[in-house]
Amino acid sequence: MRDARAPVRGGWVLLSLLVVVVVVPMVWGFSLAFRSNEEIARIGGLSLHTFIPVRPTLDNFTRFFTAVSFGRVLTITVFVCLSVTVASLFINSLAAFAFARMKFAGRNLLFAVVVATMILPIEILIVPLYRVVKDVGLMNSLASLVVPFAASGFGIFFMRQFFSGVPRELDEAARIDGCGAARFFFRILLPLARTPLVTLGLIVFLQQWDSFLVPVTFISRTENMVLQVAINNLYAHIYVNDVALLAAGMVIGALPVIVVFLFTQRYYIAGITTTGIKG
Amino acid sequence: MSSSRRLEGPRIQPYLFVAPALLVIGVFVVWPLAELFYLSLCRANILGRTRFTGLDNFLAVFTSLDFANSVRATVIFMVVVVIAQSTLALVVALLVESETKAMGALRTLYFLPVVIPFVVASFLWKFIYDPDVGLINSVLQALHLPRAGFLADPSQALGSLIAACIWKAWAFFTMIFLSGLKEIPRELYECAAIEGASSAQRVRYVTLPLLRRVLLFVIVVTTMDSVARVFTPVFVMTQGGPRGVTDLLVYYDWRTAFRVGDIGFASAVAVFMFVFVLLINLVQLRIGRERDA
Repeated sequence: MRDARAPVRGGWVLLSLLVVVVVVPMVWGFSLAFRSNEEIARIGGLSLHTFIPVRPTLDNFTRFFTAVSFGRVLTITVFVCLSVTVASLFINSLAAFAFARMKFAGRNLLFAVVVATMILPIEILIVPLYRVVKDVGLMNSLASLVVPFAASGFGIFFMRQFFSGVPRELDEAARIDGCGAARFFFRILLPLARTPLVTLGLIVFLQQWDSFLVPVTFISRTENMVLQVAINNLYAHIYVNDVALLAAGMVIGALPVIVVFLFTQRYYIAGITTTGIKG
Repeated sequence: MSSSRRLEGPRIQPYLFVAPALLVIGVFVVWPLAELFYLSLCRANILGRTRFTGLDNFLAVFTSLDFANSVRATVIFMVVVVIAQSTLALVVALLVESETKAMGALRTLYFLPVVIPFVVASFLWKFIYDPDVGLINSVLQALHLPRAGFLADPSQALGSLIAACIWKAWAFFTMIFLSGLKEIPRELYECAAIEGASSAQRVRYVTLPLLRRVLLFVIVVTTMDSVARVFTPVFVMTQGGPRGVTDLLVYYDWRTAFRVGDIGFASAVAVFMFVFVLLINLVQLRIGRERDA
């Protein structure tokens, strides 16, 4: 027993150190949002006020809200995230159901292609995707952020895993009752899939909230800017070196996902550990 | 027999079910992939004029000093992140697992960097590294140590970028390891303990061999991530600088296409990345299959 304890006690040092390394930068960074730029310029050395504002202010938030026309940016961001989430849950489930429970010529080949697309990171495809989006006339529109992501190999694979696990007897019972495939899917299977749908929905939503490469490449019009791009542009082009203002943007960009995470941890972590896909 | 047990409906029905998904994936994944290969063989600019030039772009890519520099930075980034991050994630998973009560609270805290948007995390670290107002320099100053340039210093920028990226992602892989550890039967540890194995020996001879599959998965995902999922931090923190030391492939590819406008050259770079990603996945398949046999 003594053997087993020693490394664990040493372990607590590392685990506590990691708490400090994880939490301290965030506390410090978010504290910038509640300080004036004058105060930030005078930071230096190490004291309690390295982390707690001397004169706390909400001024940066009011400035941020007007600087980015926040109402509009937030509406657009939420609209894009929700659209992708709803569309992809529906379209992916539909395909996953057919792949899991129906028999048709070419099924295995099509499914193999769908699964193979999972290894393709968007970063590698961004150049030709830009051209395709331009060719179909979606450039600079919100649809360019939604339509290309309304289905994904991962989403189909994830839902198919669940649908394949539902007992076959259900199909049989439905067939005897004269229930067609469509009704069976919408009335019986989808309600059963609430947990995987919530998990997948959460993954997709948070992925979209985090999305940066695609909107920064496809959207140059200010009217259609999403939050992450607005945060970047504010600092990179408009209020250069206004650290306090940007810090307010950081808090606003991070807070919703932190709240969502705290309330849905169980689904979120279950999703990660079963799929290995980052939110 | 199996066909009689299938759901009934018109023959065309399955195709209607998969059509929307296949349409989206076809137009926005498969077609772009084909176009990527085509563009890599063309002289093409962002305005849309393309002319077939065969392997010229690849010749240009492989003789480009900027490309060589980018590959070098990417390889360093990849090797350091794979080794350091996987080790950290594994060690923490082993420690947390043995203290399950505290795990809930720790997990929540450790996970915050994974959850916050990458743009936010990147700006956060940009400020932490700031030569004037940054947190680390404040600490160094308080300890009467010389200030450091971090992202502004060519000899420190890549290391600083790596540290920030590990800070963001390590806990994710700890979760993966933890789920792998849960699969290992308790009895094996008890047996080992009865046989008089120390806890270090138990980790070495019970845990690690049974965790090999998860370890492989983590290494493959980390390798892929460190090649592909690093656009945002580079874009926000360094824009590839100073002096190109953080010009990782994804960012190099993107700026060649959208800042310089040379889509043909950028596509050749992307094809290079694609081949790499494909090889990594084939290796995983291969090793995974060997294990199954």
